[in-house]
Amino acid sequence: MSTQNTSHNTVPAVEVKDVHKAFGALHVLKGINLKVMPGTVTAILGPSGSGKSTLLRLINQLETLSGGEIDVQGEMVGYRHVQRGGQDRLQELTEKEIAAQRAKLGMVFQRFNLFPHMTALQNVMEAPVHVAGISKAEAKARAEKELARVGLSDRAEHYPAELSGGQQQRVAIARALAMDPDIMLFDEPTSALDPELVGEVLGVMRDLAAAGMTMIVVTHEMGFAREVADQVVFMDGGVVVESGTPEIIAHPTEQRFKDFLAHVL
Amino acid sequence: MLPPVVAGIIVALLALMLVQGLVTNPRFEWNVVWKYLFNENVLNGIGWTLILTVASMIIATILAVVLAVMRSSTNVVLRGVSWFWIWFFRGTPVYTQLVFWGLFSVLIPRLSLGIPFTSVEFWSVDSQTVMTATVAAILGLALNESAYLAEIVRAGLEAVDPGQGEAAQALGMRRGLIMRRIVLPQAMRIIVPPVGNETIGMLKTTSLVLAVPFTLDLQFATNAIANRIYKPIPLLLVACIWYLVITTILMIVQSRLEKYFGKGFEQRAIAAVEVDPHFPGKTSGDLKNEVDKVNQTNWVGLNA
Repeated sequence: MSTQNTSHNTVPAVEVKDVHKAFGALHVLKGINLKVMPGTVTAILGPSGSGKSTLLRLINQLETLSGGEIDVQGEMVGYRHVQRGGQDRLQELTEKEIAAQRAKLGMVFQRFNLFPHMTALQNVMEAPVHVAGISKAEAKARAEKELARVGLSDRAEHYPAELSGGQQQRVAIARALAMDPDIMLFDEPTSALDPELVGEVLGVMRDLAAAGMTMIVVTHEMGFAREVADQVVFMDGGVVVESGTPEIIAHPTEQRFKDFLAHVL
Repeated sequence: MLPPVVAGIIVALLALMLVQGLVTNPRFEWNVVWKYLFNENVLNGIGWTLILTVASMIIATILAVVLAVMRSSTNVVLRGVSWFWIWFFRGTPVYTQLVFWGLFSVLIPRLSLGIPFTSVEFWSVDSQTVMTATVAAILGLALNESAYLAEIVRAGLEAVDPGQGEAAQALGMRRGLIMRRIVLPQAMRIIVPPVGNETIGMLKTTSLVLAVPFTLDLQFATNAIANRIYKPIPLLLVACIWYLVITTILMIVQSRLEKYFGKGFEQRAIAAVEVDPHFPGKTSGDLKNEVDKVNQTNWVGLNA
């Protein structure tokens, strides 16, 4: 365990190296570099269409790379190096191997994406039972613990349609946490919520950050970024325009970042 | 506008007049209807009609899932074959198809498995031994039905929010598991009502198997008696009564299924269309027009 810990302290949780992504002729990401250390919170800011969500989806392999490399805990995502004919080539990982890589990452979506035909409890139990192969009793105990953590013990038997947006998003967070991920990815987790429901979701995320979870958060919540993030990244037009400590929100240097902040603050 | 109470009374009176007309009209010969309602040949006919309906629907459903998956495949051959299948079986009358299935062993005396356009043959069999009237009737009905069901299944699968699959992937679930645990259960909610429609339609389509000719089903059995005793009307009534009884049972089963697969969805929402703002520039999560798809599914069902 101790060797793991030391390696965790030196190896980034996520490292993005010169990543490109194109959808047909649309070049969405144009050479992104990013390093996220274990136990830190990174907030990614930027206007719509700047490629923030695409970056998050690439880390979790919901999209395939057009160029560059992404490492999670030092291990390249989606491919492996093989020697063929004396040459170094990239070979795609199998579906099973990709699923195993994804298990280290928890993801929370803008539109919650809870399974509507299952109760809150069943949503949280689904992956532990059917992916991790844990017994139902154990998975239920774990799910109840995670639901308690997001303050929804009394909603366990409710279907998503019977929950508010904020409650649904908290169930979605519990669902991701139930797989015991090392890193949590949040894709605009509060953008689809009514303003009065944003606070409860951010509260859960604050607690999670305080507990030492490694988090990458795509968000429009400047207050959250300023208070909780260790690293702030501003993206625009498919590139990282400015990055640094949360101080940069108060003292931006790049003009594009200044313009963006003037719009949102 | 009439007050509802008055309108109700008028409609009730009209209905009573209709019932009176049916019951007291001597030409309907209810005594004959009653005499043959539980006739042995009629009861056998019901059995055969049910066998034809259930067997052909089961085969059709299996084929339909395969066709729907082929239809959304990246492989051109699979897509093309699926398209052609649906085009052909939807595009020709089922009666004609049944005639051809009946003539199968005449048109194609031997069935063999080998490599096309060569003399290599792994296995062969005499058509007549395989293609009995029962097999021909079931296959004819099933293949025709599979084309309709394939469209229903496809529309049902497509109506499930792609975000569902992504969330499942993000949890480490693999394709087969996602299909089984996440996508199909949600698609079922949309698939069940039109499939129920199709099953009830099939119940009555079975009366066309005389084209094969298959001569044991309910319609043929009652018709045979009618021809023997020269009383067509009462025997048609016998058939109608039994078709209505079976339809009623099927409708009860359908509503149970709809309730089961509707768990977690609000009664009124046909598709999961939530109030959600549109965020431009997203690579995922954009709401597809689910209502359209659901409607399309239902239309497919109604057009059968």
